[in-house]
Amino acid sequence: MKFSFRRRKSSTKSKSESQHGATGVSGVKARIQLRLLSQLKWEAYCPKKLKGEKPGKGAGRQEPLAVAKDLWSGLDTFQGCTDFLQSSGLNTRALRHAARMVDHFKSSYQIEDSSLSNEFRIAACKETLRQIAKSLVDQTLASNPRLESYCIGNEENMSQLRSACETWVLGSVYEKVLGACKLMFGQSDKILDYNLARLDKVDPIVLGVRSEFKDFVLGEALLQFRMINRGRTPLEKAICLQKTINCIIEGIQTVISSCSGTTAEKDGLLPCTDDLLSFMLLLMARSRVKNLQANACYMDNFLSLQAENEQSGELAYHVTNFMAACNYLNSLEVEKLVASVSAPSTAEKIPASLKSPRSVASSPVRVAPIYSTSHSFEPDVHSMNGEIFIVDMFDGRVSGRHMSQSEMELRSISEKCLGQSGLRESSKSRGGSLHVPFP
Amino acid sequence: MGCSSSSPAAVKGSGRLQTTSQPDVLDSKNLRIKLVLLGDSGVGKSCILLRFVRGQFDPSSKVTVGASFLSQTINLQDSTIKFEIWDTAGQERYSSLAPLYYRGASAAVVVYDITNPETFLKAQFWVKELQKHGNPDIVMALVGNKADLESEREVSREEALAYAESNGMFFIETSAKTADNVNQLFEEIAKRLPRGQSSLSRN
Repeated sequence: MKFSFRRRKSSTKSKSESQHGATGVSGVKARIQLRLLSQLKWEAYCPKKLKGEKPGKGAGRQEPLAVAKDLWSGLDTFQGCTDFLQSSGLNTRALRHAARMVDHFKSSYQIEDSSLSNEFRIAACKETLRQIAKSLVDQTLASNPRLESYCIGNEENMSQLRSACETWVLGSVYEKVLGACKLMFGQSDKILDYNLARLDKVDPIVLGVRSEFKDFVLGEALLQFRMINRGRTPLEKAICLQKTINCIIEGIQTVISSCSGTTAEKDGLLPCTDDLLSFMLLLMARSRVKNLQANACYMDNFLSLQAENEQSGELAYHVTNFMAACNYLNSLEVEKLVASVSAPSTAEKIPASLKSPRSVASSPVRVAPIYSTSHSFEPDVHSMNGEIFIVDMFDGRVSGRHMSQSEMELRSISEKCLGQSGLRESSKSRGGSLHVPFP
Repeated sequence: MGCSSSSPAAVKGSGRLQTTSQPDVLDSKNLRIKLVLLGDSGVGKSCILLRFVRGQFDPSSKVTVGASFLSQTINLQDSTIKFEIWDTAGQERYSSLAPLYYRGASAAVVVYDITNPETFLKAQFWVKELQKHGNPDIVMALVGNKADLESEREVSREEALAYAESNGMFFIETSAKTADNVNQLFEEIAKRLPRGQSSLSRN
């Protein structure tokens, strides 16, 4: 009796085992190829200091990593973090597991559930995302010995890995989380936009800007600040704030260096927190960026999920300034200021040409906030009853006209919809506390 | 002028409930702490800050955002402390925003101007705020600045010292202009920070 495959005869393995073995061999080859590819990618992107170094085993090898270097280039963006985590085939399993958790979070997590308080919803969401990010870190380290050798015992690298995993997780759930923040602060953000449209016209000194900086041109800072809504992750948004402030400080330092005063006089021109807050208010008024409070809430709560102290670091400082500016814009003082800038009887003061429906329709309208009389915090609430305020994005003009019957109907539908969207009364009035664990 | 300390009562509590405001323990010998500067407008907070940062020798350890956020490392005998110093807005209009800045702070420096009694009253207000809303383990320092203007003094050293002692703070008078006691202020804070506590609060 002849056997076409002698090996099969001599082998004790079953058919299925042999087939598995064959695919196993090709699987090994594929894994080797993948690892080589990962190695090439790693060589291309990892810092020079780490190239060519053999990974140590165990936690004790800290000497080559004593100098803090970036673990990977571009870890400040979602794309950069994704590239980093996908750069090694050894991370695939950890990433796949994290992706499943993220999908589950997106499909089943009820962050929009309006029966719970904003604070509770954000805290619960934050904790879940922290767990996903932590799990990704742990599994990546467990499955990638090379990465483990770089991170264990080196706090700087470990911190970068944590940040990369957080960024990846948060970038993956961006729409859901920021969407929830927008829902929570939607109404109060509209009011903020309205206030800012009026503040755009006031003298910078009224907003606290020092007279020395009154004529300071915000140009580049404005361009930078307007990009805040392009960022997906809290890190990207916070870096946008940092760059914005750096533009301002660089501009001021150019002015200082051209001054011929004493060191003490020059130091006096260095911007302190009062100045940065005032500039932030001015930027907010001039830039017309939307969803400011939603962004503030998103950054403040999700910037550092795994940090020991969330409220530390330069980025946290910039986010705090941003938060502080938003809070200040909700203050009674600003309400009074807004009221003084544009008197309640705006409709009577606006030129007839602007009052006509045609002129309103032809203007490049971007925002048409419709306010309800129930918002008692609005300074000119009564006069606004029955009026629509149109904010012109390009020159900041606010024009008013009386509502038609159809518009009144539209408003009632709008109010109804907002009610269905789950905004709490406290959210409607003030937007709630932006920071959850507020002391 | 000089550093006067109250009893070690400044450090109270076990620190278990609000451990997020504990210093970050990088390792057994390195601490990273958030410090906030509070005080009325014009008392010289920024000047103290700049004087402290410029007086140090290691330029690589500095991070500056104008005169509002600065980072500086100092070496004590057995450890290294990295101060992350947050300036706060001193204008009255922004006073309600201060809690946003002192969240998670391990140390607070409350500054007043010895030539202006109103700023001393405002300093007392900040101390009360910190006691009410700040971290219970926070290390607080009361600082009388502009000590070089002795002839214009309106807040006596004894009065300020008595207030500091009664509130478990340490007291020091400084002059940002002449750099008197500026380094001592931060060194004293560094010495008083709670050590050996893990900041791994969440686990």
